[in-house]
Amino acid sequence: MKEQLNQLIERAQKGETRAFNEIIKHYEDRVMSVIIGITRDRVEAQDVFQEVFIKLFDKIGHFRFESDFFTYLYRMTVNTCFNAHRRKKRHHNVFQDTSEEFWNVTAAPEDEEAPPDRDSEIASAILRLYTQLPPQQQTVFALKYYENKKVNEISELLGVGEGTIKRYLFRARETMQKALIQEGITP
Amino acid sequence: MNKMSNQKIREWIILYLGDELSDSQKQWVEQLLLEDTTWQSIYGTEKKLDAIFSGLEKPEIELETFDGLRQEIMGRIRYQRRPVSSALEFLKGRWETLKDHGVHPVLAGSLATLALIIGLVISGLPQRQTDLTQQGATDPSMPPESRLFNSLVEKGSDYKMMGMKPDREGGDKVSFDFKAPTEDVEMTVSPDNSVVQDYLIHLLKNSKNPNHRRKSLKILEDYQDVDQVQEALVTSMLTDIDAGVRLKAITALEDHQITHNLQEAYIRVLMSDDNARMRTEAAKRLGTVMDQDLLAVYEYQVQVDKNEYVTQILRQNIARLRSEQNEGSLQ
Repeated sequence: MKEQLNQLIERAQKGETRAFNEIIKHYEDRVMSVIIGITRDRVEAQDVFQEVFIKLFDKIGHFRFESDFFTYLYRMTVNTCFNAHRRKKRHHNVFQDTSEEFWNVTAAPEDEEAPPDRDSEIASAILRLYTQLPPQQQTVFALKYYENKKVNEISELLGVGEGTIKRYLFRARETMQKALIQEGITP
Repeated sequence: MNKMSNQKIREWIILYLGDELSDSQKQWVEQLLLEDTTWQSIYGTEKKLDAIFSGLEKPEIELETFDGLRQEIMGRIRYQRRPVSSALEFLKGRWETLKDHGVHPVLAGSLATLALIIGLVISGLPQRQTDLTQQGATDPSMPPESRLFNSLVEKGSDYKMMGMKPDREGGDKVSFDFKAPTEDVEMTVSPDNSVVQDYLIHLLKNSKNPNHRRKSLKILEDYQDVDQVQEALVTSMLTDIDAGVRLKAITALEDHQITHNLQEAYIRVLMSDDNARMRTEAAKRLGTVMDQDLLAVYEYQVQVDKNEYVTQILRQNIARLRSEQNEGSLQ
């Protein structure tokens, strides 16, 4: 299997688009799962997904088979998510009023027939707070809780020291916990 | 440990929940939780939070969405810069697409010229692989380090190069630290020796360590009259994953006469390198060549390159070539 994959990669490195299409097919589920875990947004995830594979197409010639290809792709995926979020954050800062409106619009409608149960209330609050975290904290948080990565693995993936990763993680948790309490939601 | 701040203890509890503490740290947390009811309560809250964070469901993506996404990616790729080695196919594909859409034959012709140039680039690329077996060592299955060592000191063993140090003072020696199962050896050799040069070329092309590639490049700069060295520099400029090494390679090639092959290599850099400094350098070097065939390359690249500085240089190159064209037609 690995041999076949390596052959596909080599063919893609020579510019064979059919081989590249096969590579996408092989990894699309796993890549999308990572992206959607981080972005938590279907539409954004699809944009990032395209960006990842177009970037991969540009960079695949540089892959030297020294590391596992999925690790290479995974790192590219996480970085692309991070950059996409940073861009979005900048955009929202420029158009802060629009951003506020956006959050109100996407919040759960109040006239639903049955009141949301406590779990879904907490879940939707967490998702809302999660999307407001700074990009670094959001990425680390997602890798930890949605991708089940250990601190040392996140550190290796992002090329940032373990101490920094822990700091982002604790800050993210603390921010979310405080915000939940302020909203009268206690776990 | 008793003097640990509350914040630190909370962090340990979170790490404990993620099974990320050492055994002794785990024991410490467990002991604390046995003895202190306040921390038991905090632990309970953190545990609930952990479960909520980990239990959030991911939005689902339908299978059909992947088909659409894949098609879109493949469509966009046709209009993207291709990896270095596939520029020709890319241009061919683009030309065919344009032809299908009834694009003016002049434009199609320009692209064909461009495709031809790129084709020459690809066919003219250095293909030579450094082979130390030609230099005296006999066993091709042996690591290159061992082969170098053997061919220099006639000693057989499994040597691994751990470090290298060019002589800063005289610049005519290089020291290698070799490690073998039975001995560590430091060997100082002269890069004038062709076996050493071949080994340095091997390092530049194949070493996983970017420092070794940089240092090899630095030494080889002084041996540019050796054909294989120029080939290695060109290969490094075109393919090294580290932009720093590629930049050093293109800098090292600055004084080289721009031959047909080198011109083609610069075209590849201009059209395929992600690093704007590399493209800038390539555009500048090409600007010194008065080759009318380059007009098509510049005109294409000026449309697709997002870096303003690069496009500015390309426009200057275009203006220079056009003025030469006009002068020629006036005469």
